Parts: sequence; C-alpha cells; structure tokens
Amino acid sequence: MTAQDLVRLKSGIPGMDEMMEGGFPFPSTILVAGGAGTGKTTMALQFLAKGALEGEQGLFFTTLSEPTQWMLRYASRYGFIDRSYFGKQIKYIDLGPFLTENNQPARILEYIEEQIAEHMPQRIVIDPLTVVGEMISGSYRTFLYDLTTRLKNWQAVSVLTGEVLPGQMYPVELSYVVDTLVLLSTDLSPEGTRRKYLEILKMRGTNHATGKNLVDLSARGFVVQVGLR
Amino acid sequence: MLNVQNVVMKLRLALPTITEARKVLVTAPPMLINHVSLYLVCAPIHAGAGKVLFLSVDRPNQSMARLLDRHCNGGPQVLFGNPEMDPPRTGDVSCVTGLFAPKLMVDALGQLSDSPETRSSMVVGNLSALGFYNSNDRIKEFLRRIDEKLREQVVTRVVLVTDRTSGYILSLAREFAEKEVDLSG
Amino acid sequence: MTDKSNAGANDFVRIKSGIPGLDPMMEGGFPFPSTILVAGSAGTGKTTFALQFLMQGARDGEQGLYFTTLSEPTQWMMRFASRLEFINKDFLGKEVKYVELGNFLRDEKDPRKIIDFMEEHITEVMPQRIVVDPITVIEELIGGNYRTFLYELATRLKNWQAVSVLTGEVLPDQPYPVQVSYITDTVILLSYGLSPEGGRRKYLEILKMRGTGHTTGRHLFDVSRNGVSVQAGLR
Repeated sequence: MTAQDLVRLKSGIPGMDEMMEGGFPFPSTILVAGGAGTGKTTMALQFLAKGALEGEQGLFFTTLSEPTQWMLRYASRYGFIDRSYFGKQIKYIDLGPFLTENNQPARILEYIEEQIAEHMPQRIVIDPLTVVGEMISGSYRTFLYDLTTRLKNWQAVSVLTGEVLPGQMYPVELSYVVDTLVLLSTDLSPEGTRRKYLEILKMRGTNHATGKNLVDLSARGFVVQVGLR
Repeated sequence: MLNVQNVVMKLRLALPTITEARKVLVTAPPMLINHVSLYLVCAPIHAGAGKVLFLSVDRPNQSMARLLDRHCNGGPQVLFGNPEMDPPRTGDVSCVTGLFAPKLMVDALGQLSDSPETRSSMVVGNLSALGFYNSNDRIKEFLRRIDEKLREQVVTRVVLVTDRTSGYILSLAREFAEKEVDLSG
Repeated sequence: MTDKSNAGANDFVRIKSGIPGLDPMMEGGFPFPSTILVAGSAGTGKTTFALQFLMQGARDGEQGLYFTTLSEPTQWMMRFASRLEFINKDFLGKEVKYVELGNFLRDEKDPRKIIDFMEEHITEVMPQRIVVDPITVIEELIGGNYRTFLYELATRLKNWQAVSVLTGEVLPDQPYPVQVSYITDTVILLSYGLSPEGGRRKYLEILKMRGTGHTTGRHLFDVSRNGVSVQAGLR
C-alpha cells in the first residue's frame, strides 16, 4: 500500500530539498535551531524569498523590533532577495509592541492569528522565537505550546527560529511541538577555519537525510553542500 | 507559479457554469485550496438555497470561521478584490470538520436536518485530504451518499473542491461531477 | 480476542510489540498487562514506535486507544502518520481510536479529573493497547501536581487490563524521565550516536523490564517511513 503524497513546498535552500523528499510538507511547523552566527535568519529570509518567487504570500514576524529599514539593509546584502518583495509578497510584521507593554500572551497569539487570517500566507516566519521567554508574563512553555497549536490550525509552512544554549543539542521546550527540527551548528577545522553545518534531526511523514551536512553561508545565501560532511 | 488573483478571476468567470450545474468539481492548486473554498462558500451561487453546508474535512472550524468573518462579512475585500460579491448573512454557513468519511457525512446530515429550510447547498472543502484518513472504498461510499441526498432533494447543489495529490480521488470526483472547473493549470 | 499464549518462562501472557527484532529481546513480547516507558530525544522514533505497536494490535484483533497530549488537531498528526507504510487506514477510527488530551489539559489541572477523563474513554473503548504520547508534556501543563498524577495513573493502570506505552522526551539533565520510570514495568531508551563516517545513528536499549529476562545494551535502531525496527545482533 502506497501512502498518499504530501504537498511539499520548495525550501529555497539549494541542496536541501533533496534531503527531504522534495520540500517541506505543506502545511507543517519547522524549528530552525542554532547558536549565534549559524545562519538562522538568513535561512528564514531565503525561505520567504523562494515563496515570493513562486507567487506565494509570506509573513515575517520579528520579535526583536528591528525597524523595517534595518531588515531591508540586511536583506539587500544577499543576492537571493529583492527589496521590492517587502510590503507585498513578504509582509514584515513587528511583534515588539506586544512583547514590551502588557505582555499578555493571549494578545500576541490573537494578533498573529489576525494577521494570518488577513493575508492567508503560504509561508510564515517567526524570528527569533526563543527570546520571547524573557518578555512575557506567565509560562513560556505554555505560550509555545499555544502558539504551535494555533499555527497548526492554518494551512502554511511555519519556520520558527530558536537559539541553542551552550551544552544543549536543541531547545527542548520546542522540539516536541514542531513537525520538523533543523539544527544549524558550527565548529573550527583543524586549520582554524570556521565550518557550518545543517542537520535534519526530525521530520514527520518524511524519509529525510540524516547527519550533518556542510553549509556555505555567503552573499549568495545559505547553500547546503550536497554529499559533504 | 501561484497567482491568487489569476485563480480568483478564473473562478469569477466560471460562476455561471457553477451556478447552473448541480454537481460541480473545482480542481485547485493545493496551496490555494482555502482561498477557493472560501470564495465558493461566499460567492452568490447559493441563491435559493437556505443554507451553505461547508464540509472542511481536516481544516479546523475555528480558522474557517475566522476567515469567513474576515473576508465575507462586508470587510475590505483585499483577497478577492470583488466588491460586488454578496456576503452571506450570519448563520447562513455551517461548517463541519471531520476526518473519517462516514462520520463526516453523518455530522453533515445532522446539520441539514437542523435547518428550518429543507434545501441547502454543500461545498466540500478539500476532497483529496480524505485520502489521508480513509480507504478508497470509504471515499466512494461518501460520494455515493452525497448523490443520494441530491436525489432526495435535501441538497440542491454540491461543489467539490480538490487538488491533484490523489489521482484516484480526482477520477472518482470526475465521475461524480457534471461539470469541472480546472484552476490548477 | 486473540490467543495470547505466547507465554514465556515466567508464564506471563505476552503480546507482540509490532517492532521487528524487539520481541526476541524480551522473551517473545510485552507482558500483558504491563506499562512501558519509551523514552528518547526528538526524532528517535517514539511516536512511530507507539503507532506500530497499535497497528500490530489491530492486526491481531485487539482494540487500541491513542491519547495525544500535544493539543494539535488530530488531523494534523494523522496526516503525517498516514505516510507510514505500515498504517492501515481501515483501522483508523475503529481498531485504533484517537483522543485529544491536550485541550483538556490546558484547562484542567486536577490529576484526578484528568485520569477520570482518560478512564471514561478507556471504559467506553475497552482497549487492550493504550498509548499516551508524550506523557512528559503533562508535567509542564499541570506543574506541581505531576507527581500525584503519576501515582494516581500507576494505580488505575492496574485496573485497565491493557498494555500501555507511555512515550517521554529526554531532557538534557537526565538520562530518561526518571519520575515516569518509577511507575512503569519496562523502560526502553532510544538514543543517538554518531557513525564512523559522521552520520547520525539511532539505538534502542531495554534498560529495565520487571519479571522478564531481556537482552541488555544498545542495539542499532532503524527509523523511517517503513517503521522502526531493531537490527538484531548489531550494536
């Protein structure tokens, strides 16, 4: 008996779709976790840029309250993204105000769902998610639980980014509520150069490549070096 | 390459076809299934039918209710760009969610018998999704029961929305329907 | 009901786990009734293990009940589950029934009420196989009452005449969910390792199994859409 195929969305990351039967399952929730400098935001932007190219609607929720100008300048460093996407195919939405004032988790969640209902995106990014822990009243874990539950009521591929703390393999508070877990890591080669890696640790419903793959992170963007470890 | 406006425009142009037929199949790009279903629930094809019964299969009721609220109640028609579209009156749309074809059918029929008017139109939000949770036989049986309700005139019109993820379900749907509107190209 | 006379040396009735390579490691199968903790990090195959366990039961004419604590809509999880090649859709909703525990847990923190809720479904469905996946989430949702919950659960499990598989996330500070292990007869640990070429490998180990002579040590564990299996004899 052959299982019915899932609809899949191209990741926009060269070398990655082949690791996961052609793309991210649509819909699904993905955690991209890694330490500083591992390329989480770049990967998330590239994912949305691919959507824009394909005619899909994307939402980028920022929790750091970086103004749009900052994001545009950051994005324009990369060849894969067109500034004209912002405001149209990619809507840039600031969650900052909700995180500093009354910090009522319910209001943040309501606002996120309102935006999703309004724009009906195929792709959603929340970057970074883990900092929210310091900013809201009440249980951070419960908030994450509620957030992912709500995202799973909508038809979109949601990419959530998270910091990995030293000594952790992945953010344990998020690992079991997401469908896919992508780990970004880095180390020093014997020659002293910094190497970056991507690993798919889990992906529901998909036979995915396992183990770390070398990644190239440059002005061209995030590229998985197929077959290299 | 998706183009929401393109798809919606094709849908709008196809409205006369959809309004005339009793059994219609709309084939949509998988990522726009929600948009298409929403449009079909709200579009003025349901005149004369007391209620629209929306079988959203595996899309939760709450998100559909929110979408209807946002896009079909006289608010700015950002998505569909069609100010002439008549929003349905509150309470005109009943959503039923379910995974298993037999139970989904039973719940839907339960909704129908609740309505004061005896005739309703039915929109099935994503037929191919049924394939994840039901065997081919169950899906055949599901369509057969819809046919039954049409013959008994409990339902005046049925619109099936599907994508192309299951070739078998698509062929079953084509057998069932009198007209097809293909938006997936 | 099926003949469960796969009786081992200790005269337990045993049922097939559904996991290839596992039954020979434990005198032919899980004792009936008993409770098993399957613990592991993300992606080690816990949910697939639990589903395979229930599908085996369905094939053997047994009733299964799956409690999900994740509060995601059942359809979300089942869409992915349907991709596993061993899933027989005809069993879904019948020989394998699903109950969403997550929504209930968001509002109800009283351990007794939670277990009463579970017991209602168990009384109605009368399963021979039960899964709670994952059980560790309950700690986050009900906080200080977790210990009471586990002890209450331990008591009631004895009345339910079933083989219960509880799955648990492994946290960095402990080798497995220790509190849960106190109330289970069996603890199976799924873990990661690295192959010589730098690839990611998975392992299964039976850490403890009351009343059964079991194979010890880590064994290679395969996880894919075809299901999970223990590679006999390989470490």
